[in-house]
Amino acid sequence: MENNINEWTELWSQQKADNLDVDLLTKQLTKLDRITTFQKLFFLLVTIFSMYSMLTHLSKNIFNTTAIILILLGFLIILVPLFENKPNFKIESTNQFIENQIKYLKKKLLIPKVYILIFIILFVLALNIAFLGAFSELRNSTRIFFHFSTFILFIILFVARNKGVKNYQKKIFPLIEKLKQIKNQE
Amino acid sequence: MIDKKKIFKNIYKNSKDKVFRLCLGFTGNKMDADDLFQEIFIKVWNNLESFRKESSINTWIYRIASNTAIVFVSKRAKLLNKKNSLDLENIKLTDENTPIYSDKKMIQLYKAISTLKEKDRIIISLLLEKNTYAEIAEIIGIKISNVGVRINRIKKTLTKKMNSYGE
Repeated sequence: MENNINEWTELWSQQKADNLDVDLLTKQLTKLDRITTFQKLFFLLVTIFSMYSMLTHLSKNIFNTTAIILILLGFLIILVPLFENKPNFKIESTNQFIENQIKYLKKKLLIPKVYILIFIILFVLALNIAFLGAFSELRNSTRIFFHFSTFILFIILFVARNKGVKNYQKKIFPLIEKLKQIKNQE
Repeated sequence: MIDKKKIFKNIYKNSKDKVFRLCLGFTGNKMDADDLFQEIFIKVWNNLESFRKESSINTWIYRIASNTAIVFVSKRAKLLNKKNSLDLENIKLTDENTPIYSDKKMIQLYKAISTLKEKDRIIISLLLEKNTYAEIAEIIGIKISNVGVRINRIKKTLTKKMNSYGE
């Protein structure tokens, strides 16, 4: 058996990596780093600008302010789970990593299933509250029409979310299954 | 940034062969091995700043490599089932002076390893890279005594597979 191992080690080490242009690789990776930094900065600036515009131009009454707060809350509910609990590739052992990866994927499933649903509810609620302030001068039938249109919007967003959940589950369930199978290998 | 590039190039130079062998042993074909190899080094680049010098670079690289391989193989589970056989033409020896019988045997070895259970593929790759039982236990996250038991079982399975190829 020991002879086998020695022979296999010898055979194994004969395989070498192809000669890759490491200078070109580092150049491309540096470029990618710059793009990522730019995207992060751009996203931050757009967020700050939108919040500033909303708070200074739209929040002229209590209805709009409440609506803006609800929409921002909805965004936060989606954004926070996106950034938390990412498995750590570099410090976790394989077994630990597999366990955390399964937990992470299960949590990711909650994003379309729960968090997006909460966002949709908050968004439609915010629209209705904003309409209360904006159309207070209009006739009752027109106001009902606008409120009813938000109900239609809710149905459309709800159906789209359901479709998204199904697609997401189709992608993530096999991954979780495979990871569980690897985890249980003895 | 200059420092990062320098460190990365150094790591790449010192570990490219062992990482590639792990990729090839894990995936069983050169095309997937190349993709996995690239993914691993992108992760190395992205995590370079968080690398703590007190931990061994060997363990660090292998943890990134094996964890990336696990995710890679999970994503490609369906695909791998379809093409379970090793594409012999895709594996090549870089040393042209190596005898032909060795080339064939090497292909058989990689083929046999790629058909083992995922965790066993990583363990045997680490062993063939001359890592100690303690290092293997640290990378995989199992007890040293368990490593010994698993390696014995892997050796038996691998010997059977290699013998069946020789028939």
